[in-house]
Amino acid sequence: MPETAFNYVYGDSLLHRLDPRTKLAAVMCLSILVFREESFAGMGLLISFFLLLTGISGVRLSFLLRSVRPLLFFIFFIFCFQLFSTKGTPIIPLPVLTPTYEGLRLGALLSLRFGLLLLYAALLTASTLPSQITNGIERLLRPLPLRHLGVTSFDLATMMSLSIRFLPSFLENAATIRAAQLARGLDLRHDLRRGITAIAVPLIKRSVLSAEEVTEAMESRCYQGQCRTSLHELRMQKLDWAALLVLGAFSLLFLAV
Amino acid sequence: MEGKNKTGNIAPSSELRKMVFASLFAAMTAAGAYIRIPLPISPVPVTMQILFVFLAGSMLKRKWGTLCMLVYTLLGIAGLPVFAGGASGPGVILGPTGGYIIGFILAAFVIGYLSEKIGKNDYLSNALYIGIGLVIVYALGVNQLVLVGKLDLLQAITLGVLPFIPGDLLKLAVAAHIASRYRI
Repeated sequence: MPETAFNYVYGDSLLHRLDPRTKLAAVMCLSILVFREESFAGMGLLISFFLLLTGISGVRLSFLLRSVRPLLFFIFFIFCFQLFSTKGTPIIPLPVLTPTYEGLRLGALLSLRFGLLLLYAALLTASTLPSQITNGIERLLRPLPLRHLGVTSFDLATMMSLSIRFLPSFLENAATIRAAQLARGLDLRHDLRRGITAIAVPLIKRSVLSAEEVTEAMESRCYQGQCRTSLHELRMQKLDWAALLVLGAFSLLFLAV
Repeated sequence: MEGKNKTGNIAPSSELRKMVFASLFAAMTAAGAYIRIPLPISPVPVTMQILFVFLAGSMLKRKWGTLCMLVYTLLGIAGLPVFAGGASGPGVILGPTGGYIIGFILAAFVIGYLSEKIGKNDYLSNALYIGIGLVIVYALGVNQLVLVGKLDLLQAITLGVLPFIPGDLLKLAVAAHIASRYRI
């Protein structure tokens, strides 16, 4: 796993101290604003708001920009596609592909939009621990009628925490088994099919065994998903309401302009 | 994998067991984003995520398969880099490639639903359910590429479906094989 694995940056800024629910609501609200915005002036305002929040959080901008990298290819492709295929005034007349001003505008707008979506989300994950976000999501899902799915919001939160534990041990097992098989003379380039089997079978066997163990451990500790308590109890502070108020005012102002 | 001789006489309730396995599959789906196998037949590196989507649907069935993919999505929203290429955050779901992730949830549901409803568990029926699931993933993925990315249909298919078909068919074959031989 790359070292960006956990996108959290330790800190004690205003953003770090807010309740995860406040921040989740803020990201959702800002994403909607980003989606609705069709003008560059509005985008500029949203970008400055993002920069302001980054300044408050104390997270380095370059760290946040890394979150855009995985989707860069898609964004670039969409930009090029809009640039060349939108009809309008040509920038330079070329025989086959003509870049147009309208295309440039639309392409830049879409790229900015996707970039901002990722950046606002990165701000959330940089200032909030995954376990806190899990807690926040659990609390937000609690009023939903999940009974129809046959689970409770606590079950979902438990599953998320279990997965967060399983993921690194799975990757670690994969690395160990791969090294063990290489030491026994496995050559992946020689026979890919056999190589994959030699790694996958013990890996899955181990994972299934550990899942069985976890099940028994939970069973013998009487796991129940009805009502659970948490290490970090969530409490909305005055600060959270103030932040939501500021956000609401910003959104209203933004929509009105 | 059931029916192993257990030393103790503790029989974990099957619901709890499935819940733990669903979490394991969600973690494997996340890990699948990092396992890249270069294949000579396809220009795009093959990642293993969708294999676990197929397996979740066909082995965990409707309820837990869907929940497994839901948990995977929530992990991504919580900021763990579990989406393809190590992306994370709610922005990915709303972005141009988010349709695939929504497709994962729906595909797991449909695969699980079909295999529960029809009840057959041989190789070909499993391959059929999974095939339908794959079409759903493609359909939703292309749909979002068109709507959000403002691409036209042909471009979206060229970018978002064609390069993945060879690898995905291979994974379909593997998943159908595993699902018809083992059960949780």
